[in-house]
Amino acid sequence: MVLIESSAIVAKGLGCIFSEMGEFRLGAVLDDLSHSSILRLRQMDADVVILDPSVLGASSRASGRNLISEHSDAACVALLTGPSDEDTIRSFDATISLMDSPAAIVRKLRSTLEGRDEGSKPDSGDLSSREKEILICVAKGMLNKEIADLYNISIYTVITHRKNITRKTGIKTVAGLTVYALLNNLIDINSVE
Amino acid sequence: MPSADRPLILGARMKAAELLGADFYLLGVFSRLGIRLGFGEATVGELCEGNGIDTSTFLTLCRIHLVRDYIPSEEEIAKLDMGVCLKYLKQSHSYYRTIGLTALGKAMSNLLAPCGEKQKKVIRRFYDEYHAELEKHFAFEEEHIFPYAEAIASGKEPLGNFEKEFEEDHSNIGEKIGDLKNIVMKYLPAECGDQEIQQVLLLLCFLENDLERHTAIEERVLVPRISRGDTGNGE
Repeated sequence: MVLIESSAIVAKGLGCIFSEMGEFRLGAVLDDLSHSSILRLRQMDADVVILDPSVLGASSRASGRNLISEHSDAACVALLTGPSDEDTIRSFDATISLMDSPAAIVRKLRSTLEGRDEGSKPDSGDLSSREKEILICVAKGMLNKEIADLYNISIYTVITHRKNITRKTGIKTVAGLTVYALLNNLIDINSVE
Repeated sequence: MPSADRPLILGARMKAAELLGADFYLLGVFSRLGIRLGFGEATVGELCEGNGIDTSTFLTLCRIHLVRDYIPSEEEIAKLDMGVCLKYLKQSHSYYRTIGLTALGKAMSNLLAPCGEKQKKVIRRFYDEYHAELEKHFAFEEEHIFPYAEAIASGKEPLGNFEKEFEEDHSNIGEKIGDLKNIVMKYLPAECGDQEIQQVLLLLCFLENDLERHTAIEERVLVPRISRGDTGNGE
């Protein structure tokens, strides 16, 4: 495994985590992606390359992953130490962040090598038709039990739907959800007066 | 001014301007404690002394603004000057009423002016309910919490019990403003103007942060201080 990281603190820290956890071995730490670093990368023949995109200048950040795949077949994992761009991240096989636990880091690397990207896809954000139905009931002031009976589903399913509605819309209160439903023409103002 | 390669070290000897420059939300702490700007090169300690404010209490209030999950230590709580805390909290209420919420209410009216009657009514009602809840909460604190704290600070026997109701109220109020922010960001009718949306959003974000800090000071400073029950006065 090769790490490309310019912060000595982060590089040493990650090295310690790997030696404590076993399973992965940090073969080399490069602090940039200069010509000599790339030569070194080619010689290493690593399974995984961990690249901190902030090592690269803002203009070359998006191409960092491509540069690595030109010179190595390794899986490429982004180490996020600062704000980064969605497009940049998408080009990587996985991402690890400074706040990940050692176990999480190892787990992510393992599943990357097994070819499964464990990062679940973000959902489209639109409410499903069932979620809309439930939202309408909530906006009308129905209780979870009443909604469960109406659709013949368990109260836990209703709660899960409500959690998903809140996650997607960012709206937590019943009054706020009612405003959402009204603005999106899911209900008529007369039905909540 | 501090930057990533020069860490900010809070203390009585730092320049007051450097502290304020580190986070302009601290302007609320300065102004509500009656510290006027134009303090030149004064250190935090000098500025507090000149304004008759206990420096350690002032720094505790600043830390809660600067560090999101900051919890003052027991020694910090014990040293606290309740008078300074209460002044900050009361002046905050007065700021919300006379400036913060007034500006937001006006900006909301401008924002909703081009909307259809139905939409206007729906959003306005949500805002008005939020505003009313906030007012009610302020009034509750002014009638019950602040006098309770004052009684303790002056060594009298306080009346009643408050904590439970207090914290439930805080979380409801926080959720509502978060909802309002999401509605304004994501779901407003197309008729609303960009400038008007941005204005409301700026005021909302500022108010949300300010209220969060206000709540944090009540829950992490005032309540633990009251629970200690003694009459410490900053010494």
